[in-house]
Formats: sequence, structure tokens, C-alpha cells
Amino acid sequence: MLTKRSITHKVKDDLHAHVLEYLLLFTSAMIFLLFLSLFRGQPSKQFIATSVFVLYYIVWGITHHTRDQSLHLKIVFEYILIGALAMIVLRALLV
Amino acid sequence: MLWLTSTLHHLFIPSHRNNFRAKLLHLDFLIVLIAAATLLSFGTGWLEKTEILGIAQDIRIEKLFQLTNEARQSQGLPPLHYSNQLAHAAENKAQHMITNNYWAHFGSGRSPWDFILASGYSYEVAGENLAKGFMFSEGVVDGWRNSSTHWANITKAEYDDVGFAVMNGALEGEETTLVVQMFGKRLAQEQPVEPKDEKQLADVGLIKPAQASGVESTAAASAVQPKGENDFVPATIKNSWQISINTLAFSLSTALFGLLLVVLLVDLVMAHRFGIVRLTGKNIAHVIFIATLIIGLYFIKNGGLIL
Repeated sequence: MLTKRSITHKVKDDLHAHVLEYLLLFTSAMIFLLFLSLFRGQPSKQFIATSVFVLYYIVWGITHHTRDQSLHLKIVFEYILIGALAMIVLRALLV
Repeated sequence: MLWLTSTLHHLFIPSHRNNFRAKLLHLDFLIVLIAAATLLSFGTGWLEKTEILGIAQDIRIEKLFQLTNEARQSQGLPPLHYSNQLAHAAENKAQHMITNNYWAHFGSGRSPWDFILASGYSYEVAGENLAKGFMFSEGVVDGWRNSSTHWANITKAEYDDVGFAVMNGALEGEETTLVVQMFGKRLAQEQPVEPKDEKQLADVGLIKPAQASGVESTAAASAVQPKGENDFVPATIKNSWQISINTLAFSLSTALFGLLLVVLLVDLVMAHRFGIVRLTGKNIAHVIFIATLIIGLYFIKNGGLIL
């Protein structure tokens, strides 16, 4: 019998299956926000913090999909492009 | 109308028409967004360099003056008068900090009181608030509001006058925007002053014409002003018609990240509803990333230092 689980369950399943990886991503996000707050009034340092976070996010994506055995070049590009978009947008504010 | 619905469906909802992934999340569309963002990023940089079409920050003296007086009036205190002598003092203080590369009330052998006295303003009581690295006037005044000592300065009943300076420059190798706010109450024998200045301020909208004309009637008392005092008009007032680069960049950044967040969530929900299995990045991870950046924008927007 084919059953359809709710989206909440699907998300929960994914989070449970990769709890440590999502925890790392969430923690790095919190650390990034902490650094943005610590570097108030210092846009060049905030931009460095942003660059490190974006780089971490891309590496996280590649590692996650490698462990998930779903890595594909298209997926790597997706993480790189979203990261690059974030960098370029924040550059306008910080540089 | 049908065309619009169809386009929105194509951009946001995964279906056979967009290979079961919202078109806005396709690699080619992401490249288009990157090209647009690059144009924005370098375009705003160019606008800023021209110094004609745009200014970097959206900190305006008239707004700081208005917010300061609103803060005082919220405490039942009378509004402060704008003093160009104090504004001169504030401008000289800001220039002195940039020239001598320091960020303090006292530096290179000069105190705030030296600048105030040098501007020709003999005070009975005076004060100074400093801020740097803010993007918007509201952020500056909110920063001062959240500090008991700065708030005490803004809401000090003894003060009659205030002057501001907003200056861009490099401090300790970091390009920043300095804001200097100076308060004062004149020595009793020197009041009232600055009739012509207030007329100038009325001309640029800092005070109401009725107030200006009321002071003009005391023009004979203006002899105490230093030579050249009436020539001063704050730079940000002269440039008030310019585009604020940060306002533009901040609004577009928020809109772009907000759009991405909505697309990711809609795509996630719809893909599940239609039971679509596909090879893509994890929307949940993208959502965490983009949501963090949106929160980060708040820190960047309000991220300044006060002293």
C-alpha cells in the first residue's frame, strides 16, 4: 500500500537522519550571527565573517550530499550559486 | 491575467513545465540573479564614487535632529534649537578624530569642550554623543536610546541647543561614517543668537518658517556670533535629494533574500504535495542559510558603535 506522509514528517525524517549535520549547520549559523553582532560598525570584518560562513555552507552542502550518496555536479553548482549570490548581495552593503 | 498566473506558476511551483523544480531555483535562473546582484553591487559602488547621484549612508542631520527632539518631547521636555556653532564644533571634532585616527571623547590633547569654545559657543553646560558605523539615522538614535548615559544626555533638561556632524572617513583602517552630536546651554548673557542660521534651517526644512521668523525679530542680538558662522550649511542637508545607496542596497537585498526564502518553501511544500522525487540540493539547508542571512541583515543594518 502506498502511503503519503505529511511534509512535517518528511522534514523530520530528513533532520533525524542527518541530525549531526543539520546541528552543525545551525550552530555555524548562530556563530555567524554572533560574529556579525561582535563586529558591529566594522563592515570589513563583517564581510570576512560572511565569506567564511558562505564557504562553510558550500562545503557543508557537498559533504552532506556525499554522505547522503546523492552528490551530483548539478547539486554542487546549486550550493555554489546560492552562496555566490549571498556574497555578492552582501558585498553591496559591506564593501 | 492568464499569462501572469502561468508565469508565476512556472517561477514558483514545480511541475512538468519546469522540470519539477521552481524555475527561480534553476541553475540558469540563479546565474541571472547573480548577474543582477553583481550589477547592483558594483553599480551602487559606482554611484557612491560619483558623489553626485548617491551617498553611502542614510544618516541625515535633519532626521537626527527630528528624532532627538521627538525623544525629548516623549519625556515631556522642550525641543532643542539647532545651533550652527555646535554643528561647527561637531564637524571639527569629527575631522579631528579622522585626521588623528582616534575614536574617543578626549583625544590628541583635545576635549569636546575645546571644540565647542573654539566655535564661539560659550556654554554653561555642554555634552557630546558619538556614533560610528551606522547606516541609518534611526539606528544611531536607537543606539543612543539603548545606552543610559547617552539617553541621559539627550534627555537632559538643562540643554537648549544641539548641533550635529556626519562625516565619512577612515578610522584605524576602516572606512566608516562618524556622527557627532553636541549639546549646550549658552551662558545667560549671550542669549539669544543665530537668527540668520535658523532662517537657513527653515529654508532647508529643519524648522518651521514660523519659528524662524520669530527668531529673526531678535536679529540685533546676533553680534555675539563668530565671523562666518552663518555660512555653514550641513553637507547632508545640501545633498538631501541624493539616492541613499545603503537604503537602496538594503531594500533590494531584503527583497531578494525574501523572494528566495518564499520560493524555497513553496517548492518544498509543492514537491511533497505532488510526490516529486528529484535530484536537487536540500531546501531545508537553503532555508536555514537564507533565513540566517535575513537575520544577519538586521545586525548589519543596526550594527554601529556608540561612545
